[in-house]
Amino acid sequence: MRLSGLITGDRKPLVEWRASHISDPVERLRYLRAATDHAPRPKRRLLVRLPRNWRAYTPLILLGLVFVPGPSTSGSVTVDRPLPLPQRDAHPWTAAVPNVWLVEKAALYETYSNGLRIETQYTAGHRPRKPFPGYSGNLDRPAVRWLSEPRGIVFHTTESLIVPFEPGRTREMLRLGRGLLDYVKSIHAYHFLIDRFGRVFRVVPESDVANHAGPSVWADPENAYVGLNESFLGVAVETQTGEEQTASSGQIHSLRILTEMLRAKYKIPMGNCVTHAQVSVNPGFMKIAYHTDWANRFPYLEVGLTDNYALAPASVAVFGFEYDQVFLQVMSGEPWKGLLRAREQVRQQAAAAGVSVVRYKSALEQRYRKLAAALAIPAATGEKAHANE
Amino acid sequence: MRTNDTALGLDVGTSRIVKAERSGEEYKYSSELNAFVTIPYSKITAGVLEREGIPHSVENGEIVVQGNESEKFADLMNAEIRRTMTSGVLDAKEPESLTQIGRLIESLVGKGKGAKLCFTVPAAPLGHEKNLTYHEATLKQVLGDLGFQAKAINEGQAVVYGELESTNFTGIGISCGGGLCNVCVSYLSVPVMSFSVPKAGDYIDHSAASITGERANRIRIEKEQSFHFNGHYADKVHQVINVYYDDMIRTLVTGLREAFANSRNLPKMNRPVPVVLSGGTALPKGFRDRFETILREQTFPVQISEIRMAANPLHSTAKGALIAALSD
Ligand SMILES: Nc1ncnc2c1ncn2[C@@H]1O[C@H](COP(=O)(O)OP(=O)(O)OP(=O)(O)O)[C@@H](O)[C@H]1O
Ligand SMILES: [Mg+2]
Repeated sequence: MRLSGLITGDRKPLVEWRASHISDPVERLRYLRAATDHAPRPKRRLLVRLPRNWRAYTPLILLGLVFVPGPSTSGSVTVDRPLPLPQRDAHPWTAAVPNVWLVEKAALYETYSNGLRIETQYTAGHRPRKPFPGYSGNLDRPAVRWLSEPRGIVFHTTESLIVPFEPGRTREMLRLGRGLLDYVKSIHAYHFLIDRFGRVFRVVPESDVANHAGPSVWADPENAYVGLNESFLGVAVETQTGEEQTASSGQIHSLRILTEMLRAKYKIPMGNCVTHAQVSVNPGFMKIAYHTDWANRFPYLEVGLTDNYALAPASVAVFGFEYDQVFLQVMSGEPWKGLLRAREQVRQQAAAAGVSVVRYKSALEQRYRKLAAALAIPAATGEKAHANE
Repeated sequence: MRTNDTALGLDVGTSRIVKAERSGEEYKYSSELNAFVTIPYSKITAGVLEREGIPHSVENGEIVVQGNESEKFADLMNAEIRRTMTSGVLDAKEPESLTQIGRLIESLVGKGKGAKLCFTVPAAPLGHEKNLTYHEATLKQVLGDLGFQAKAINEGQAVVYGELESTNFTGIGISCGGGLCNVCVSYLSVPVMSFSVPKAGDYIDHSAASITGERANRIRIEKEQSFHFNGHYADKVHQVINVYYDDMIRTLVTGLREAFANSRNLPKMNRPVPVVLSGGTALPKGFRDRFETILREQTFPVQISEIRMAANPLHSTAKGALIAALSD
């Protein structure tokens, strides 16, 4: 980052000089904080890098038509290849969509034809979903389709405090569950939350956006998606990603019937029902799995889906992200089948394009940065953990 | 006359919780061990505690001792010490964590009456984010319930606020604690990069314990009382502690190097920047020199002006949190 987003070059020495003449540390910090203007929202400013005259670009940026130079140090690489979207004919994309319908809508709940009951007392509206882009076509000049209905589901874990699942702990679990619901409601964290007992709560209406996915990508045979907050629904299970299987049988049952209902309502293919770990990225490092929710042991088959850990993650296959040691540690050394497949695809595509893997990946990376900048997605995530104040 | 600024800094650490407050020009600190012990109630035990003058409470037929006294009590009763946190965040596997940390915090800070308070939270591990928001939200709620306007601050950033006033809060703050080492690179008070490394005091204790067959607590006491860096160890335990200290420092330095190499978002530091070391694990004599030796083994991506110890390694994070709260 240059200083631009922070303090413009000419003002910097002045700010430093003034600050060093303030003797009280508190006053000095107060002055610097004001001068750098990073409280209370330092992240965006710091992390998105725009051309100096960026205002002139605004309409184009909004249309996604402008290339905002990414912070990549390598020179620009053009690779004239189609976007490597998944093959249409695989089961995750062809399986029939179930048939489920609304049976009753009462003041505090809804019931559905497959036995699903959704509690609605914790629902709070957020920002209505705006049309979002799906990308296809060519690598350098992707075609954009504007879409408005959710295209998939991202499964999360709450990573909240979990006490043993025992009858004697019921009251404690209820208390923790209520606290959690209040919290996720206040930050619009997901569309749905499934509590310890498998009860399904709608937290954000499906017509609105929830803050569930952070920087994230996925792709189906039709489109690639960047920033899944807009395009995917978030479903969280009150549990922790851990050594053992921690979803209770009630939670798994509810995951299954909720997934069925959402797939029916929005015609969602099985392959677009995936875990947060599979879609989350850390653009600052070009690494996958920034979030590790359900990095493994999501009960895909029990939830009535295909084993989507076998799908090539779009982060790697379409956008040139990589995994790292920490990810391998989380996965106990065994990455998803789909991850290995995705890396193989990248190798093959590079060969087909007649460029080295490194060069090809840097072209993929540039495309990610271009699309993310157009959507104003932060270029790095380092401070995100504390971003939701 | 206003002698007391109505703001507090609170370092909520895996091992200790430290409060900082300011009166006039002076900073004051108090701390509690972030731990507790419970044993079944008996008249005899209660009697022993009375005699020894150990403050305790009785709940649901159990005697509970919290904070600084818990160590002495555990020793006396041969009971296990329990902790509310592990690796920098609330321990999800400790069913009492929420209740006990609530009490410990209240005993330190009392009621807030709307006062400002900044508390420390760890950074995510390098390159990743484990969900820390719940930890932060829980502490915020606990403090909110006590009547504070509470805000979180990154632990490494707190080191910078506490120690690097002289460079306009530009530099690298490192806190080597019990559960984690936290790192923050700050530029003119703005945190531009932060991360944590899951190797710190507890890691050294447990690793050394598993190699020597000693109990981790015994290693910890040995480490705190007599370990220092000197290149030659007659004592096997010291030798092993030294091995894991090296391991920790190397991981930290490698992490820092990697973070700089991978980060595309750093401002150009056109002047060499200082590194400040703090936290309980940085206390042994010779730690700074060892850190510097390992750092200088290979070229480092930014120029370092000096590597120094915090003025008071056990208090600098709480002080930084206080300065953040006061400047808000
Ligand atoms: N004199 C000493 N020599 C070596 N280690 C020490 C000494 N005193 C304390 N420690 C170690 O420092 C650690 C605690 O440090 P500190 O209080 O800074 O951590 P914390 O803030 O509670 O933890 P964290 O920041 O990881 O959440 C413990 O592992 C303890 O054994
Ligand atoms: Mg600490």
